[in-house]
Amino acid sequence: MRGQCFAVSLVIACGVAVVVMSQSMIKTITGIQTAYYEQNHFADVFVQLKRAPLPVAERIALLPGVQEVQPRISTLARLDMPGMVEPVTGKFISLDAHPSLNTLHIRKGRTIRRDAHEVVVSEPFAEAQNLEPGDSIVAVINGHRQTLKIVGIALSPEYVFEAGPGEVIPDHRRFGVFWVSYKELANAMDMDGAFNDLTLTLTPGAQETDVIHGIDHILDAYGGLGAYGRRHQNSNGRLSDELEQLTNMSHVIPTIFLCVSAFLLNIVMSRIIGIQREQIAILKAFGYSSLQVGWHYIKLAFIIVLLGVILGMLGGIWLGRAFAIIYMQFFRFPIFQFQMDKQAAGMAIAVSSIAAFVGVLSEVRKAIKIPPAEAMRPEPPANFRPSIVERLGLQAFFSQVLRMAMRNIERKPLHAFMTVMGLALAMALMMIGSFLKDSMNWIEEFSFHLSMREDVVISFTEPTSYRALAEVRSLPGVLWAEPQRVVACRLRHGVHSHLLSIHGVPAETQLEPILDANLHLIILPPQGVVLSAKLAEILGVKVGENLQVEVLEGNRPMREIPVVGLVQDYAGTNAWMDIGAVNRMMKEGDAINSVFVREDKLYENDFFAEIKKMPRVANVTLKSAILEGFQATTAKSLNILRSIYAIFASVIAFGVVYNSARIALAERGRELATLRVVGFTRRETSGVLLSELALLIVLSLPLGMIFGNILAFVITRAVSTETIRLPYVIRTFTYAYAVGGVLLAASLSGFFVARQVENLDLIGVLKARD
Amino acid sequence: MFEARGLTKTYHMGEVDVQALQGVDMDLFAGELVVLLGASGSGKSTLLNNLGGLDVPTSGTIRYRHRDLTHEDDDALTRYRRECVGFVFQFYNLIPSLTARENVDLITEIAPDPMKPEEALEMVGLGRRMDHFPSQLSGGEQQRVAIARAIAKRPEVLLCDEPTGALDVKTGVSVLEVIERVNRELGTLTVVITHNAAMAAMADRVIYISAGKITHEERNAERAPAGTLVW
Repeated sequence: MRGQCFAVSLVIACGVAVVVMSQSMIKTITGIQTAYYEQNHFADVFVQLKRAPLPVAERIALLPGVQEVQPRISTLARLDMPGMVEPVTGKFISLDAHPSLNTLHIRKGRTIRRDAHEVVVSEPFAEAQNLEPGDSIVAVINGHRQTLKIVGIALSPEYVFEAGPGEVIPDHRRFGVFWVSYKELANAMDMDGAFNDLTLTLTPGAQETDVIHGIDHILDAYGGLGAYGRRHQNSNGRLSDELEQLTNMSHVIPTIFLCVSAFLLNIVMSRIIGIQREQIAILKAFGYSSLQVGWHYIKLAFIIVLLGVILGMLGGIWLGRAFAIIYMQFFRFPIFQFQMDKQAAGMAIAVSSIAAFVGVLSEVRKAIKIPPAEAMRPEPPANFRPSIVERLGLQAFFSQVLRMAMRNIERKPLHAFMTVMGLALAMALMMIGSFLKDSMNWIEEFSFHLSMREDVVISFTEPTSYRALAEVRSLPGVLWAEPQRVVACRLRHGVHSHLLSIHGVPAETQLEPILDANLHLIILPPQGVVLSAKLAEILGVKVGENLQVEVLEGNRPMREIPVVGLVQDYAGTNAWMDIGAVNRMMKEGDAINSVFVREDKLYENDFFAEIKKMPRVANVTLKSAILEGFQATTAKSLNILRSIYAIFASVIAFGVVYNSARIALAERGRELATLRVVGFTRRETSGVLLSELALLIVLSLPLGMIFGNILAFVITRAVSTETIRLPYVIRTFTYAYAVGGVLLAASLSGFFVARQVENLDLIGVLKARD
Repeated sequence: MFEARGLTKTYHMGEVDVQALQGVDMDLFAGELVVLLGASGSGKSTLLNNLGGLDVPTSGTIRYRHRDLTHEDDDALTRYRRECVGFVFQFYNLIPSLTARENVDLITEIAPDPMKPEEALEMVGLGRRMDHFPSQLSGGEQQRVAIARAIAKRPEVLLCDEPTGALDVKTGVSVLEVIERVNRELGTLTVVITHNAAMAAMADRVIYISAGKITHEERNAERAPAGTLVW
């Protein structure tokens, strides 16, 4: 019984480990986030604007609910990094001498002391570019070429997730954050005595929306781009989304794991006790009370659960820590402190224990009801009858051994059902791991190949004329280029509002095609806006309804625009309009502020060299870099997660099959030994035992596929955030993978049990039992 | 047919060594019906297990025709049991999920020259109950199915371990009648082990075993019909 108990312990360990892993990972990241934000005074509200004199910030400081304001200058600038062919972009932010908000965590060197030529660089960029304090960088800020000396390397709570503008995945070689003195940046930007960026904290209990309204009201006249809270701050928003996604996932997958393992534990414990009928009778015959007998088996269950819990906790802590560390590569924190979620661990232990004890007690109760003398007598031959396939006259199609298996299954339908359920659930769990990969592959295919067909996006500092497009088209290696006009807006529908950019693209754009659910191209009409389905859900708007669009730049027009279509996309929330319609709305003639380019890789060096010479280029986004980043981060962590689920699901499948086979061996040991005595070989005898299991496995496979689909569907519902939505896509490989996994686990356990057949007590069978 | 010489068998039970057989010499001949008579713990079951290829002696030899069973490996012993030996157990050991016919059929499927399951069941008088499951049969009937199963492969040896041990007298006698008939009609060497001295009368030869040794043997001038036995 040692092997069996260990198999049960492993099943418990898997359930506990998944719960401890995911909950501890969330607790760890949340804990670090909270501590970091608090220590470094992360702001509550953020706003960018065209330009306002500093006294305006003082007016904002007087708004009720505002605790402290920090007016700053920020801008994107191109960097001249030696050895880099691709353009590199830096976000430059002015830093007060004694900042009270968003304080930097200096990792190396010091903060800036002098007003000129000193810069603090963000750590991820410094690492990617091998920069150290003492090195210099050359930046082109507002057309002014400046050499800055790196005095320090730092992390900021504002840039836990440090991705360039419009990028969903960080590319630390090509984007970094730089802090310089206010004076330095004001000189370069011609903004002395003014600011274009402001962050603030709220007093406890203040209403964020009221403060945001107040700020927007004041900054309307200064080109305010709409204030937003932490939820929409790029870095924090991304981190919160990730945590939300993890939390949602942790509600689904670990719960399933725990429930499955508890369920299996319950079955296995009750069946183990079931075959101990004789021992229970002997104990009772010796005068042990029912209570003592029950307590004996509870202790057995306790040892099994304890072993499983210890293994599960250790595994869960180890995995949770390892995963949190992987996240630390993606989200940059200066501190790392692993926290185990004790509550989740307690819950996992409680669920496992209850499942085990209920299984034990229900079966022990049955066993102690039988008078000892009766229980010690060998059981009379069980009642059998021809199975349903034989009653239907189909017996000719099945061998004697299979007919035995079918009759056995029909005689104990509940046992068979439980085994099938256990196997189907294990298979469903195997499917989930692979499904996550399918889903991510589809996101990659859809986002990076089907709807993003450009190689490069060039963004300009200011809206510019179509001449810029012509200029880009004439660059070396440019195969095709399309214009885009991106406009910062606030979209409103009823009580809902959302800050985002409307993308004005050519109606029949070839480089950024807008695809519907069936992958058909949506041709943008001259009027109206097409939205991500998720955005429509957030705004509570349907196709045909009007959306209020408040433009936050230029003349800040306000328009009612009909929603003409929805796009089932999977990353971010987007809104598209025909570029002509955007230009008309802005009353600005033919203006563009970015260009999509498809280029010939052969001329890439020349192409980038030319771009670097264009003074109005603010940022260059490379699809290949984003894709690489996506594969190196999201896809990587998902792959690890998939492997963990696969291993755990295999252990569960193994646990189910092994225990079922062992119990069958115990229940039918006499029968199998008889077969050996009358001349069946080991192989033939194992065949009799395993054919029943094989039949149950075959039955469990289609059920497992159905369960897998249900789980996948539940997960797609649970993981639907603004950043990412999982598509419900299951490839044939996933089915094959799950079936293969279950079969492998089954074969392995079959092999172990078949070895037990060799040890059957042949002589014991012949011995008289009086 | 069998030639056992100097058989000993020692079991290690914890720290105690139990000598189940202490130098048994014995010959068994084709076609005879032998009753091995001994009290509980006398070593008769151990002897039967060794003859049946279920166990090997600690020392000594058993020859079956030209084979030395003492030096055969597990596969060879399995083949020996499959082809040459029929077993009948005290508790019948039928497969509960199979009908009488299927229980017999299971063995005939793996035997080289079997009789039809129906023929075997007719021979034990169960021609009318072939499609019943063990749970639908009385103890005597179950034992007769077990005998049919044992003889269906036309074994040269039929080993019966307390075949009436779990049955009342009347049913026990009817089972012995079947064993007697099989021995007579098929000419199978039949060894019945029992502690029931009343059965000695039906044998050609009675071998008495006690404390792991053969004490003496008797040959009956005439076999009493099993139907006349009482105990």
